[in-house]
Amino acid sequence: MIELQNVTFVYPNGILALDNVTLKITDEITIIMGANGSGKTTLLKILACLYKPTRGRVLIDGRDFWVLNKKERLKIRRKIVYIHENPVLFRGTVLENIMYPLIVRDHHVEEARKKALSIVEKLGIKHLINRRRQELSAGEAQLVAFARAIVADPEYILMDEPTNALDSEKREIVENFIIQLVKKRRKFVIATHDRLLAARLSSKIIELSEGKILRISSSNELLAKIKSILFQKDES
Amino acid sequence: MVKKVDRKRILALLILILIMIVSAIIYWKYLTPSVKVLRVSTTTSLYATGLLDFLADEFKKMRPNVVIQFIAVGSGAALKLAEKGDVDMVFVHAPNLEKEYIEEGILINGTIFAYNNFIIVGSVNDPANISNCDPVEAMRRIYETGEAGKALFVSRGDNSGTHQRELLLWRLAELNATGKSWYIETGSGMSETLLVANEKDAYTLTDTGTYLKLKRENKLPNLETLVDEGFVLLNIYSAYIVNPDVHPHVKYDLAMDFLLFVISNEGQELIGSYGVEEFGVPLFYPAKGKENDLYSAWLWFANQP
Amino acid sequence: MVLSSEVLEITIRSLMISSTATILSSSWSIPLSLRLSSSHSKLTNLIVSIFNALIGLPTVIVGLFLYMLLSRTGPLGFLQILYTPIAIILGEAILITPLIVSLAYEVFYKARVEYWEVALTLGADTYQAYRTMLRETLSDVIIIFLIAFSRALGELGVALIVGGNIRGFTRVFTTTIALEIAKGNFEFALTLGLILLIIISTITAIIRILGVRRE
Ligand SMILES: Nc1ncnc2c1ncn2[C@@H]1O[C@H](COP(=O)(O)OP(=O)(O)O)[C@@H](O)[C@H]1O
Ligand SMILES: [Mg+2]
Repeated sequence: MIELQNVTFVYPNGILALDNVTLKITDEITIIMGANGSGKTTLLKILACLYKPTRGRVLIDGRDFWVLNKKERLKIRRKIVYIHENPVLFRGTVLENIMYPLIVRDHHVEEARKKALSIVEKLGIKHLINRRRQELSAGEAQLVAFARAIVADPEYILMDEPTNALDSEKREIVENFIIQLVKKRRKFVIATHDRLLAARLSSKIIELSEGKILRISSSNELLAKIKSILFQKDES
Repeated sequence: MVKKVDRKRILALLILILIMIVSAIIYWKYLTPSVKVLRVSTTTSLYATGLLDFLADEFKKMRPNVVIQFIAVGSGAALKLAEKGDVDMVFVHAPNLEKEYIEEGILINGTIFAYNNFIIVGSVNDPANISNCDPVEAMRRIYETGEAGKALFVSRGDNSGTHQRELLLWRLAELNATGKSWYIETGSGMSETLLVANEKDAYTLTDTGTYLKLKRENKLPNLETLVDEGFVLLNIYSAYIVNPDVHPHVKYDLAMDFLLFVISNEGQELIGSYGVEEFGVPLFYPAKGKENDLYSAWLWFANQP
Repeated sequence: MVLSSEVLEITIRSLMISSTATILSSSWSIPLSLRLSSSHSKLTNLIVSIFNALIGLPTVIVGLFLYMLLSRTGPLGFLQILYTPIAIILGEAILITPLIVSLAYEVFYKARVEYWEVALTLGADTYQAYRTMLRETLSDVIIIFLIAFSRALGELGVALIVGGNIRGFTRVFTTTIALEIAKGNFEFALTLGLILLIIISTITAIIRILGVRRE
């Protein structure tokens, strides 16, 4: 379980991005919504233990991450993966990119290749494996980043606006994959503007505004809201 | 891609390369056991004439296992290096500076090995009319003509031996030219200073070696030798050994061998013939036979303020 | 021709000394700038601005400082490396350190936001993340090496003061040029300058071509 206790985050330039946030990630899928600049990305990076809070604590399975030693931090970080909004791929081929998390975990190269190949097959991007980053469309790059994130089978997968660049077909592939992983007890935190995606996937929705949690609701409430909006639209 | 072992490998490789290069350099020329290194500091102007390398090469013919390393710097620095113990020997031509270090006991076995003349060169027109006159009188005339706006003087302005001598000439003439509009300080070497004088049709004080070289290459078409005689133009070259009582690591015996070679008949002949082939005239005169006169002259210069 | 063999010797010596200095300096400058780029405290900012300011340090000052250290009567005099190529290598390595640290810090700082974070979240340990960042910024880093190498090759103060411009031992491009100017051999000095220029442009061109192919 990831838990934030009174987390405040101030960027070096003085911008207050998160203001005293306390929350627990318990559900299979948590959706974070909010306007641009409301702090979604910052929150995800705090949850991923990439940013150290200015104040407050980040507890992973009850242990305060930022007081742990290097070795323990590494162990915890390897349980959590964060996927950037604009995916950052490394130099080298798509396959090499996807093998990266396995290689850094000291897997044998052949074994890593096998695992990577099985993931790309499931995601339907096998034809891309020998391409380089500059030869990919934004949607393809996002799928590759997704494949790379899950190849080492982390416990928590934090996705930052993951479906932005995806067409409906690819979106469906990703959504199905998420559902499959949830069945394997993996947990997702997804920042998104896509209310339908939120409604379809989520059991819990956190709404952020100016670095504060505005409200926490369930997807049922959201679904009702969407229906009412659609309904109103039909009337007019 | 990324593997853990790489860290140690890279580090090891880096250190290995470093050790290899460093030891290669050390072995190559510095610590080869049979080779003895004698370090000599000297002034840039003397070194630039090529005389010292010429003498060292001749010495090496007899003593192939000796490497003489010359470090050419300004006069002041050359003596400073001796004081700091970074050299075994000094070859200089600045009597008043040398004197201090002799008195402090840093330099010993002082030996005058050669001399030549500074010369005053200037435009062919010679507006101050100094041709063949006494050097101090020449300075007076340059000053007057300069004040009248009809002549320029270019000074090294860099505290070199040549510059020191120029200042001495002004002092003897009881004049102070610094700050005058016709008095140009280049703050650079003799070659550059001569080129400036040539461009501006100005007077300047120079050593013969640099002047002849540039003259022969047709770089100084506007300049001519105007004054080349007079006691105060005498340029005296001395060699010293750094006192081993002050710096015990000084290679006294080796330094002594080289010094004796320089003042030997053979060495003196080499000095007297150096440059004749190239310039038609010698650049240096051997001190042999004139030691007493030169020493008196040296004493006079050494005691000038 | 005696002249050309001496020029060749000086060329090789200059390249050896300056490249060793660049490698040596990189061995501490690159880790340092990686380290600096991965923290953003006030102290880091201070250190970086100090290094920025030191880029313009006159080479003669570095040379003089090192001379004081290495002189027989100085604190490191017992090493007996004054007036050897090792002294020049050390001096040039120190001279180009602020340049490498400043430039590499900029590159790494920009790369850090992207590659560093991605590497960490994908399970890399600190060292692996540094390596990834280095790999991703390799072409920039190579260009930094080249700039540093050119500065080392083209500087005079250090080579003259702690090298001593000793014939056949510590004489490099710039000290030869200075000496030849003092001798009045301007054409020869110019020729040497030209060779220096050609070498640097050739290396730059090679690196550019390699860099383009890589990406
Ligand atoms: N690297 C940064 N440096 C300074 N301020 C930042 C940085 N990243 C984001 N911010 C600021 O922090 C606030 C929250 O940003 P972010 O978490 O990216 O919001 P969101 O992802 O919801 O759009 C915004 O005001 C943004 O301008
Ligand atoms: Mg965002």
